[in-house]
Amino acid sequence: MVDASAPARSSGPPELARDVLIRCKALDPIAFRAFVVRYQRPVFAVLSRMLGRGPHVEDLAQEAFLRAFRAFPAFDVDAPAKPSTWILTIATRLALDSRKRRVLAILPIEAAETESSETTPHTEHARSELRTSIAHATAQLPDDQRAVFVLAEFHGLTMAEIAEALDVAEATVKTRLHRARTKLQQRLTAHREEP
Amino acid sequence: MTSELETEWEAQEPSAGFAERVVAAAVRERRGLRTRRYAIAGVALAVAAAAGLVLFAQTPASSGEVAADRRIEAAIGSRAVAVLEPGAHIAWHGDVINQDRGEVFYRVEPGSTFEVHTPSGDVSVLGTCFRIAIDPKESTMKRRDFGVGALGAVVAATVVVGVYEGKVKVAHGKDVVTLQAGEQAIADAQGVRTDRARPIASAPDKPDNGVTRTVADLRDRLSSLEQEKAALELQLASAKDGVTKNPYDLSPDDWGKLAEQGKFKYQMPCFQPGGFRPSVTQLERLGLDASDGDAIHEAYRRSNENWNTDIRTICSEAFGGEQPDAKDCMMKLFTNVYANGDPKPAFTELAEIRAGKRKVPKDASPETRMLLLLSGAMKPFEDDLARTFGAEEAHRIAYSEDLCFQSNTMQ
Repeated sequence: MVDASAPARSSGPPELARDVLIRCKALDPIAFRAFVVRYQRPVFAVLSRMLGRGPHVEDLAQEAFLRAFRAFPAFDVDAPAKPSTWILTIATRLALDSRKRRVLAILPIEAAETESSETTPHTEHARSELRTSIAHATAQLPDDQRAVFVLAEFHGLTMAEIAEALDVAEATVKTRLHRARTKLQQRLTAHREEP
Repeated sequence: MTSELETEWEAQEPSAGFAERVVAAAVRERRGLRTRRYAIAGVALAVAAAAGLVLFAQTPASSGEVAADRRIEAAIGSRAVAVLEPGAHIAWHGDVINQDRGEVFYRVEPGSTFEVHTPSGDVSVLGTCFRIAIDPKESTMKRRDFGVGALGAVVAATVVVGVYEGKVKVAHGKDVVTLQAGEQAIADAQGVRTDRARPIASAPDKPDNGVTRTVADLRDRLSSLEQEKAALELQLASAKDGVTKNPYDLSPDDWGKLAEQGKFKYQMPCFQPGGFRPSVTQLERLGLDASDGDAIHEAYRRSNENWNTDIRTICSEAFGGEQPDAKDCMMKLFTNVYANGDPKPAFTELAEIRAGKRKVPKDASPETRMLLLLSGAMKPFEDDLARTFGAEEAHRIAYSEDLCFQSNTMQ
């Protein structure tokens, strides 16, 4: 059983420097560009994992950053909340709103653009099948479980941070994460056991 | 499971230029917000200014008296303009007018009641154009008969009230007549009555002689001027905002500040075999044609070539012999800058030279010359571009964020 209260912390690049954030608060475009450059990959990752890949991801990512830009004057650079958590919260809420407005197709994961030199037709076929399985397994997760799972597993947000991001109780986050993990484990195990 | 997912559940990567597009959208949106804010402020300012105009026009005339020996235009009360024909006389306090003789045309802006008391009746309006003509020969009525009563003197007059716009109420004692546009009334000893027998006299001439320039005209004019001013201020602010200075585009003042901080900054065209060539997309972002790529590519190529030659010359003098690897010898020179433990003196010296506070020493060390070369790398590149694009455009291209540069801040 996986300990739902201890998500894997991803060791990504460090948070944006405080002085850059202060300039962002002043709506300095150069500093804001640095902010976008620093956090665009996690934002794209959350959105694409929540909604599936496609042009809508870039649209929503842009909207997320524009919302951040509008909200920056009120952003407290000295607050314990990390800027990464803040922008991921904005992106996640946008994704959930988007799903509520219109059910987006969770698109199959595309094949990796670059192939490893060790890739053989057999291993590539197996990986392709695994990707498909993951796509189907994650696509079947309810939105709330998917959001918790993505934020916890891929972006290392704590239970408290996710609870705040999604505006739910911490206990609810733990329950959703546990359910999401269980469902995915079951589906991926079933995939492995297939001949 | 997570690592497996992370590997296989590949996230979508941001497309090239995403950050630039977001920043551009944010800046556009901010300008849009400011436009609306300015527009609102402009309107508020215009309204306030218009009110100010009325006050300006009214303050000296909020209480006064005019006896016209020729046609005179006067701003009276809080929102009216009166055109007095020769021989007319009015006295007023705020929106209460006493007209005891002559012919006066009034244009009253909508608002609370505006009253004109005459020897033969009281005229009250909310906003309109009308004329009151008093003929003293035709009446022997007592002023108190009309309820005005303040003067209490015996006044003889027949009053003709003609209406050009809106409605006017004419009261004579208990008699009240409401006139529409195009109607007129007579008030005399017999009371007040609508006079349909005589055509209404024409209104004063239009602005060819300036007498009918009303408060509304002035308010409109001021409003449009204020809005124009707000728009121009907005343009100015936008223009200032639009020029977001590249942090490596350093003026002598900037160098002066760096000298105080003991910092060194440089930007130079990036190195690529054969010289960097901008993509069509990059050129489009710069507003340039695809064919402009050749000139930029050539400038990069020459910049790389010249810089290699110059740095190798410095290195040869510093270390002796041929120095085939420009990057390697530059690193050696930088190592020397840091060898004493504190690079600030070297950086300060260089920044002061760039700030124009000191001259390049004749016996400048190879390290100083290298720093001069680095900090001056953009100038020949910009000059090269200027031959094709002109100085202003070359500067814009040279410090754009869309091309390939190496920049650094050291301290």
